[in-house]
Order: sequence, then structure tokens, then C-alpha cells
Amino acid sequence: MQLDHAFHEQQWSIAANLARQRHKSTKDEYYKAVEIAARSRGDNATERTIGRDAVQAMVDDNVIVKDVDALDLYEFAVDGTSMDYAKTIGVLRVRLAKALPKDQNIGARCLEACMWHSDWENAQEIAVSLNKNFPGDRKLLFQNILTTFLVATAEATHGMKKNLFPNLVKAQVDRAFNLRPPTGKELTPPDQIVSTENEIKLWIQIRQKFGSAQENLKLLSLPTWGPLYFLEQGFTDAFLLSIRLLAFNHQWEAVFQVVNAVFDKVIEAGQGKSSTAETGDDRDRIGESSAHSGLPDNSSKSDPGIFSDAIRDQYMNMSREWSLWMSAITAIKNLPNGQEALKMFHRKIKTVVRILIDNNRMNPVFQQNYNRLKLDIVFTRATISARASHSEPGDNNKIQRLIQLSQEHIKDSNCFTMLKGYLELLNKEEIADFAGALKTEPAEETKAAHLFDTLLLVSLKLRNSPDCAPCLKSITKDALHAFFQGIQDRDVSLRVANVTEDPLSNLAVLGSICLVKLAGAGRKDGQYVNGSPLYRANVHLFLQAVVWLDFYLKKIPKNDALRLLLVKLYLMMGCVTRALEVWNLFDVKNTLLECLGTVCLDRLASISPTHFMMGPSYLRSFADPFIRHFETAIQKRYPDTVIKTLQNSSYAELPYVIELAQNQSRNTVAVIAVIEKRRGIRLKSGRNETVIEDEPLIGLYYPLIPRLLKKPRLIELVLGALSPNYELQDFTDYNPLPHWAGPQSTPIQELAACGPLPTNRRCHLSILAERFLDLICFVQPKDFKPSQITQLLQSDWQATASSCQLLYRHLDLLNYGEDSEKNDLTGPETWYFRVVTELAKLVKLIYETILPTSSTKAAREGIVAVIRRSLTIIEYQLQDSLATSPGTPAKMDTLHGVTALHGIGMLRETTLVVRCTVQHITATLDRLKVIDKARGTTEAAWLLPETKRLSAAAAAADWLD
Amino acid sequence: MTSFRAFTPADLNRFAKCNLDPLTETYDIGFYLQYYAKWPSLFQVAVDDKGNILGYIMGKTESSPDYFKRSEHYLPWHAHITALTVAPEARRLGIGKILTEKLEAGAEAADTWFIDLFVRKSNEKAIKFYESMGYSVYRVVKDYYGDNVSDPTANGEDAYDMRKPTKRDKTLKHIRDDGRNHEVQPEDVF
Repeated sequence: MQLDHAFHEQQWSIAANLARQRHKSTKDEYYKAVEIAARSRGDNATERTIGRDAVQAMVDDNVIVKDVDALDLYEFAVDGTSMDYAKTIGVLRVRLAKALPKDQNIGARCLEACMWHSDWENAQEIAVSLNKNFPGDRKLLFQNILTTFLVATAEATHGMKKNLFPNLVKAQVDRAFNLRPPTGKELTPPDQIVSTENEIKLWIQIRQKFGSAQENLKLLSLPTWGPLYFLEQGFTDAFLLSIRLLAFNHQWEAVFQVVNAVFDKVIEAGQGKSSTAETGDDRDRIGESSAHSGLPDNSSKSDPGIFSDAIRDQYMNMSREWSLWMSAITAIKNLPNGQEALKMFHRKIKTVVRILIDNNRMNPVFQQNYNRLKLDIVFTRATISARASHSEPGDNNKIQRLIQLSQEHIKDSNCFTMLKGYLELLNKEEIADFAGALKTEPAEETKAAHLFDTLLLVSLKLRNSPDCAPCLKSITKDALHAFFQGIQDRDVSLRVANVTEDPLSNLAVLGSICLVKLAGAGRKDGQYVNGSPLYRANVHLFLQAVVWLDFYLKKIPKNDALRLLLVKLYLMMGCVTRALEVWNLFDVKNTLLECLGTVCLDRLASISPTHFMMGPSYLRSFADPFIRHFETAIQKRYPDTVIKTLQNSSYAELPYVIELAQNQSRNTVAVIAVIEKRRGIRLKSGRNETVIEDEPLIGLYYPLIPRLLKKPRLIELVLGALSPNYELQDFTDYNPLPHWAGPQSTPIQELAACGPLPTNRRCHLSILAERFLDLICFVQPKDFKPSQITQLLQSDWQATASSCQLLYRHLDLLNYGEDSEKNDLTGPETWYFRVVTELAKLVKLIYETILPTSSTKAAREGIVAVIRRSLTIIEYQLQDSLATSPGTPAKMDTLHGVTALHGIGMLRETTLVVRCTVQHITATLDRLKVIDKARGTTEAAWLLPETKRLSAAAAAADWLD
Repeated sequence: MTSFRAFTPADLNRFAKCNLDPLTETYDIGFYLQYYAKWPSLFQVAVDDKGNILGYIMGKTESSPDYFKRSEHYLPWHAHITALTVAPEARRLGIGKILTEKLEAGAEAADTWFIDLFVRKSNEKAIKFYESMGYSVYRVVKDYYGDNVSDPTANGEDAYDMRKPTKRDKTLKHIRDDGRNHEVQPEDVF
């Protein structure tokens, strides 16, 4: 009790002593593990590695820890150290599971522990052992299959397993469903095969990953298997996934045949004999195609006894699914006899829809889908006709159908979005025809309906016009005219207030986008020279856009696209407080932070560092919720979910959970949050307050996170982990922003931004710059008093030199390599990263050429050249920051100053990194003097005057700030 | 266009259109993943052709713990609708109905006795919607919600516990006609 209490109260030294005594008296190895766990957690720094050493020794000595609780304690003891789980604890887990093969509970615990740490290879060995020892347990069979699949697909898998496991897992999963002839060595007797949908979904996943097209088709054609069989069992997901597999394998005839079979069943159920007769001819023709596809009808036959209500419901419900219809359309486009297949499909879908309506199964959403489908059929027919180089009469009624669809959906907020995809397929003449026809269509009587028509026409104009000033002006005028007519009409205002995305707010958005474009905010030439997105922009026009949107926001604050656009525009003009007021209306939190965070967080620290300060009234910075979200998601939620999928037999779900975690680990928002927080804090305080190891960032850089979750302490390891080869990606959901522009126009997320969107290059450059700052700002703790100062200094120099070399190499590659043409940085960012690169080179050269031995003339010249280059870049950055746009009216200077905050913020970053580098060099030379006074004095005599120039340049820039 | 399918974790990056709506709660990512891991067939989404989530339903199957068995409030094996939401732009198209039907199909497949849910007493639109789908009030949970939408000065708001029997409940023993007269306290609800 005493030991238990001490351990849980984290009284580590008491717990360790008590455990040692218990071990001595009982000889129970469990207490040895308790002692090691307690000592590894204690205050004594020299004992922190005791767990790691003990585990490594057991691995090396082939020890088997037979007490699963003791093994849990060893795992606890090494938690937080830089051990590779798969090569240490994972190995001990496998040894234990194999040593006690008949203990299912212990095997399951070891399996889960390995899964929690994404250690698939050891998990697979344990799963094989469990499956072998409990052959009748279907759950264990599927755990074996699942882990084998994970090993087969893992990037880290190499050698024999990479070659053998794909075939092994295919054979395993086929046999689990008796889809292959038995070998006589099956672990699950055939009579125990009762498939669940999840097992089938895993089979489909494995087949899609490793099966050949012919092999998959053959298996999907087996009796009591395949899409229709799945559907009749009520496995609708499996049905859709099996069609997706056929499409993935380009088995178009088979896809078409399945869709036809579903339609036939519905027609059969809904219309009786007459309709069956109607489709009889079709079936003959399908029969011809099925001879090629090899996919027999494995559904239940039209025996009333078999064709139960439940099965009929499955067919009815499936026959209205958009994804099924689209599978057919895609297949038809790829069939040699597409024209004929399309006719058949068109005829049948009309009958099916009639039946669905008669049976009250055609909800408005399906009716809307059907209206779209009719348009798709027309466009598909045109495509096929064009391919066949002949056009049949009445073939091309695209415009007529488009007009019909637009009239049917004119009041839907997404009407234009819906039409946009089709409009992109039209040529200019056809678009002109469409616009002309739209104008002449009789408008509905109400003024509100007229507004919708105008909105559609204006949208169409914007989509189809180049971004030339006359066109944009004309569109703005049209939008403004319609907007004011609507706003002044009380009746219209009242009516549109009840619509979610009313035409007035959309007109305001459209007009504002045109104004922003007219203002020149989206212009590439010189847009980012001084970091202001409004440099050379016509601020009057830009402000008109903001006023327009804000006016309407106050009237009806419902339109999300309008609000998001306004947030972006306020950020562009440096009005962060108002931007965040609008942003906060959304209450973006938890999971939404991940998909929308970039909209507001990116570059915020350079514009408004105050939002990253913490104090009595600000308990957390703007970046903290983002950091906490990713930290929790990756370190806790992900492994927990892995275990839950396993425990609940959600086999097919696990690969998607892993994919999500991998995407989170490469999400640029996670990196941006960490970078913005660090920049924000130091821009305000003038110094670095957090060390990068304290953030989740380091953990994020390992492909499979929990295995090496805890941060390594050695800087070389960290730099290795931050390799630019680890591709970061922007997963931001930009869809809630307005999307009115045509395919040739700049998307709104790029147009209304303080600079280019996040990229892999920018994020890695930012990380490397942070790492460089950490390196040069590192100060030994005061209580660290080494005995062999000289030896230690030399080791320290060597480590710093190698770190700097690696940093410089990566910075140089990212700054000047092939990606440097991407234009994904603002001007101030470009200068800042170039200065950091030069400074990394400077420090590297000093460590390589001055500290080990007396510097040569060539070395000195090399160092001076780097300093001069740095000075030139700082000069450029300073000049850009001071630049004002030609033709800016004097009364606009203040606003231009505010919009240039990003540039000033990055200039502050540059001066800070320069100052820190100079301080670091000075301190290093001082240490050199300690071990070799004469050499230290000589080197300082020529180098310090040069570094003083850097300090002076930084001071000059600081003055501007 | 709108298509329906099972949820996948990647959808969490595309559900802003639903969750920007102030009445839709956005949870910690673990909440969604828990439902996905445990009850994947009861987590269904409606998607547009750009991959945006236009609506989703999350549900679970459960029963009260065994120690509750003798309680009058014991809940047998049933399905529970945890969240149902449709993006403002996609409302009035019947998407909520289709999503609910899909969850109900999952509940039938899991051989549950009924499907239940909680709804604010003031949310008349939702109550009407569920009633149109065959749900009825089984009991009133007093002050179940900490806040009160209609009266900010009130301590809380009552919830209706609504139920719809599945095919398994042939005698309809798990529903009642006079549910609005049966009041329970929040601690009675599992």
C-alpha cells in the first residue's frame, strides 16, 4: 500500500527505495521494474537514463520479461527518451506474447501496446501468434490480416516483407472469405465464416491496393460475392466501394452492368410485367456486354420469396444515389458503344425516377440531383458525339438545358456554383448564347426574383471576363446598381433577409472582389516589395470594397463567404482588431482550427505581435489553441483511435485514421502556429523566450508519430528530423471563401491575402531560421560547471559547426534551389531568409576556419565576403521598407504605413537575428581567449570590427522600427 | 449535387460549411474519431461535388451499464443520435431525413430496440422534423441543457428524449403516447 501510494503520488525516491526492498525480500522481478521506473522519473538527472539502459540491456541479452505489468513499467520508464519503440519495447512485447502463447489477454495487451506506438511490424508478429494459437477466433484472424496489410503498405517496410506481404495479405483475406481453394492449413474453419461489412471493406481495400484488375473482376464475379450480393446483404458501403474498385480497375462494362442491374431490379419491383418487358431488349444487350466484362448477375433472382421487402428497399434506395449515377456516366464515357449505352441509361433512369416518385422516395435532394443528371447526360452525349466526329440532330441542347436548370435553381444560393462546372465546358459563343437566352427568359414577377437573375448574369460576366479594368468596372457598376435597387426596396430587403445566402450579400461580395481587383491589390508586380499587399494599389477603391462589405455585414451578418472575405481584407490593411472581431463571430475552435486556421493566423505575428503575448489578462496567445489542437490530436487522439478501431473490429477504418495523422503531421498550419507564436513573443519582447524543443513541432516531423514522439535532445538529431525532404502541405479548406471567379482568375484566397499562401518551402525556411536562432542563442545553464573546459569547448564547437553546416545547406537549397522560382514568399520574407542563410554560413565558417586553428588569409576573406553580402541584403530590405508607392496621396501615408506592418515586422526579425549572431560570435571569441588568449585576441582584432558593421546595420534598421 | 456515403476522417477538413453555422457545435477531434472508430456505419455524410460536407449524422449503439439494470430508467440495447446537422445552404432538401434513415438502417442492422435522441424543448422545428419521421417524446429531462435559448435568465432548459421503435420492438413496449407527462432528472438519464 505504501509503495503504491508513493508511486501514484510521484514520490519517486521513496517509491524506488520501497521497491528495492520488496525486490530484495520477494525476488519478484516486478518490483525491480517498479524501482527502475521510479528512479527514471526522479530528480536525479544521472538516473534518468536508467530505464533506457535497462531496456536496451534486456533487448541485447535476449531477456524475456514474462510479467506484462513489469513490461508496462519498463515502457513507462523509457517514455520521453529517444528510443525507437520498434527496436526496444516492441521487441520485448513480441518475446512476451510468444513466450506465453496461450494467454490471450497478455497477447492482446502487447498487440495494443505496439499498435498504440504505430509499431506495425511487431504488432503483426504478435497478431500472427494469437491467430495461430486461437484459430477459431475470427477477430484474431482479421487482426492478423489487418496488421499484415499495415506492414505491407507502410513506407518504412523494406526487403523481404515489402515483396512478400502484398501477396500474403491477399491470400489471407481471400481465404478468410473462402474465395480461394482451401490449402488444408486454414486457421479459421469455413463453417465459422460469417462476414461483416467491415471485413468485406478491408477485403476491398486490400484488393484495390494489391490485386490485379482481372483478378479482382474474377473474384467480384463469384457466386454469393460481388456488388449486388453486398447490396442485398444491406452492405451499402461495401457495394459502393466495390463499384469504386471496378472503376479503379477500369472495368467499365462491369460498372455499367451493375448499375443496369440495380435499375432493372427497381423497374421489376416498381412496374411489374409491362416494364420488365420494356427492359427485356436492354437486358439482351447487357448480356452481350457482360460476356466481355465477365461479371454475371450475382443478385437474387426475381423470385418473390427471395426478393423481399428489405432487398427491394436496398435496390430502391441505391438507385437514387448520385455516386451510382456518376459511376454509370463515367463508365459510359469509356465504353466503345457509349452512345447506345447512354440511350439505355437515359431511358432506364427516367423509369426509375418515376417509380421512386410513385413510392415517395424522391426527396427534393434527389430531384435536384436528377436535374443535374439530365444536364450531365446532355453534356456526355455531346462529348461522345464529338469523339465520334458526328453530331446527331438534337444532340446538342446544352444551352437549353442549362437555362432550364438555372431557372429551376435560380433561388438556390449555390446556383452559380452549380452552373460553373458546366459553363467551363462551353466555348465563348455558347456562353454568349447562354447569357443572351438568360436575359430574354421571362423573369418572375417579384423584384427579388429579378435580383437573382441579375446576380447570375453578373456572376457569369465576372467568370467569363478577363481581369481588365473596363470589364471589372462594368461588372462593379452592374452589381452596385442591382444592390442599391434591392437595398432601397423595403419589400426586397425583407424577403432576402430570410434567405441564407441572399442575392444582396452575394452582389456585395461580387462587387467587392471586382473593386479589390480594380484597386490592383492582386497585381504581382511589386505587390510584395515592402510587404504590403496594397503597395501600388489604389487604396480608395480597396476601401470602397471594405466599406461595402462591412455595411452589409452590419445589416445581415449571415453570409459566411462575405464575413471571411472581410476578415481577409481587414488583415490586408492591417486592421487586425476589426479582422479578429469579424473572425470571432465564427467561434472557430477545436477541429475547425485545423481546416480554417490559415485564413487568420498566417503572418499575423509580423502584423500584430500583441496577439501572441500572454499576461494577466491574456492567459493564452492566439496560436495556443492551434498548438494544443495538433499536440492533442497527434499525441493522444490518434493512438487512442487506433486502439479503438482495433477493439471494435473497425478494420477498414484504421488505414484512414493513420492517413489523417500523417496529414496532420505534415499540415502547414501546425508549423505556422509554432512559428507565429515564437515570432510574436520575441517581436514584442525583443528576445527568444521559448525553445523549439518545447513545442510539438519536433514530434510532428516524424512520419509515424508516436514511435519517436518524445523529443531527442541532440541538436543534430533535431536538425536531421527537420529535413526539407519531409513534405509539408497546406490542407486549409478555402471553399467557404467566395468562389465566383473564372478559371483564369486569381482565386480569392490568393487575391485577398497578406502574401502568398503557405508552402512547404516557406514553412521549412521558417523552421530552419528558428533552429538557427536557438543555436546561436543557446546559453549553458549557470550551474553547469564542467571540469575539462578545453575539451568540452572543442566538442561544443564541433557540434555547433556540424549543426551550422547542415542548417546552411538546407537554407541555401531552399533559398536558391529549384523551388526558389515559386514566388511563394513576400519580399521581406525573402530578405529575412537570405540574411539568415548568410549568417548561418558566417557562423559555420567561423567555427570551421577560426576556432580549430589560426585563420588563414583566405578564410578571413571568405568571412568578410559573407558579412558584406549580409550587409547588402539588409540594405535592400531597409530600402524596401522605406519605399512608398509612387503617386500615393499624402493623406494616405498613414494607411500605407499600417499596411506595411508585415514588412516592418520581418525587418525586426532580421535585426534580431543579426544582433544575436554578433553576440554569439563575440561570446565565442571570448571563450577562445579563455583557452588561447593570444589567438583569441588576434582573431577578435580583425573580426570584431567587421561584425560591428552588422550591428550598426541592425541598429539603423531598429531605428526605423 | 449531393451524394451520401460513410464518413472518413479526411472529411473533418471539409466540414466548415456545416460547422461555421453557430448552432452546430464543433468538438475536439477525438470526439469525431471515437464515433468513427466505434460506430462507423452510424456516421454518415452528405457531400457536394467539391467534396464539401453539406451534412452529417453521428450516432452510437449502447445500453445502460449492468448495475443500472434494476432501475426504472434502464436503457436496453438501442441506437442514439448524437449529432445531426445540415449546412444552411443545403437545408430544405431532405438531406436530414436521408441521413437519419441511413442511421436507422444501421440501428436495424445492429438489432437495437429503438433509436433515441435529445432535443431542446424550444426547438420546435427539430421536434416536428423528428415527429414526421416517426419519433415521439418518451420523457422530459428537466434542465438537461445548462443554458436556455429562449430565456437567458433561466437556469437551464428541458430536453425531450425522443424515440422511434425499430422492427425488433414489435409490441412497441419502448415508446409511450404520453411521454410529455413523464419527467425525469438529468441524473436519471444514462
